[in-house]
Amino acid sequence: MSDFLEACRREWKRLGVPDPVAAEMAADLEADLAQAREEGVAAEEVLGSGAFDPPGFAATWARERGVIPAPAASRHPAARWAVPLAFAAFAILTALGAAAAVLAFHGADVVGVARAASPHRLVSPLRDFTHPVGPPAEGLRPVAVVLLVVGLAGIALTAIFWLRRSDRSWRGPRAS
Amino acid sequence: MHCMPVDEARQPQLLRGVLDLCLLAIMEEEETYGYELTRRLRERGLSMVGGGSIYPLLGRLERNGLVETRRLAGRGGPPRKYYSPSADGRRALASGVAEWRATRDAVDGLLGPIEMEVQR
Repeated sequence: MSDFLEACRREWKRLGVPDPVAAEMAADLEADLAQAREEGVAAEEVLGSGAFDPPGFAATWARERGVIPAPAASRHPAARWAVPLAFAAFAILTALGAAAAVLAFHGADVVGVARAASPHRLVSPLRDFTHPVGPPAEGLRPVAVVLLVVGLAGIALTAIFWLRRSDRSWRGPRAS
Repeated sequence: MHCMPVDEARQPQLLRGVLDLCLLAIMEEEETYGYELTRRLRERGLSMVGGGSIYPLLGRLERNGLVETRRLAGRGGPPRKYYSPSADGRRALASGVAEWRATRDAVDGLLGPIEMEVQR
């Protein structure tokens, strides 16, 4: 039975159970199992099916006692969705901002071509409409394009994530 | 009407819902420790506590503030953690027993009149 206790200690250590708590649990278990042995009581009577699964027994005990965090699956639903939602919002905003910048550059190109082919007087109203505060700096064009690609990739990844998650919810958890 | 075989897995399932009350009731009789709780359950015919163990349940009772604990050396053995119901634990026991009695009476009303031979 010392093997059982050792396995429990290892599991508590692995799970990050504070040493004093783990020592207390191990001492209680050791004393109880010794008494059971003296009285001729099988360990299964004391430990139930946990006698055959020391790590599972140790983890369940520690979790119920509240000395290790609950599994992620039991967290509040809002906490589970916060990160994907934040990622999706970031991707959409990035793509929209970058698309606006790329369109602004495109508008500047159109004005430039028109200006080269026409007298200034005819083009100025169009230039005023497209760039009321002046044309964007040419050096930012590659940045805008990269941000657009990153934003679109983020939106695609988000869509894949949602599709896979809804597919899993539809089929339910797989039996282990 | 034919007789159905006894489902031997049923008792642990029935117990699982009231095991916390059973533990609190034993503690209410006398402050006690883990193995002693198992033994007293066994003496009352509740030997297999759901195929599991009382330790996780004791941990939950402690986490929820339903028991008070202290370490005592008993019977010349090593110090052990002794459990007794807290004030919240006594309230939970009282309301749990009332729920149990209401459920038991309702089930008795349905199953009580049935008299059939158990077929093994």
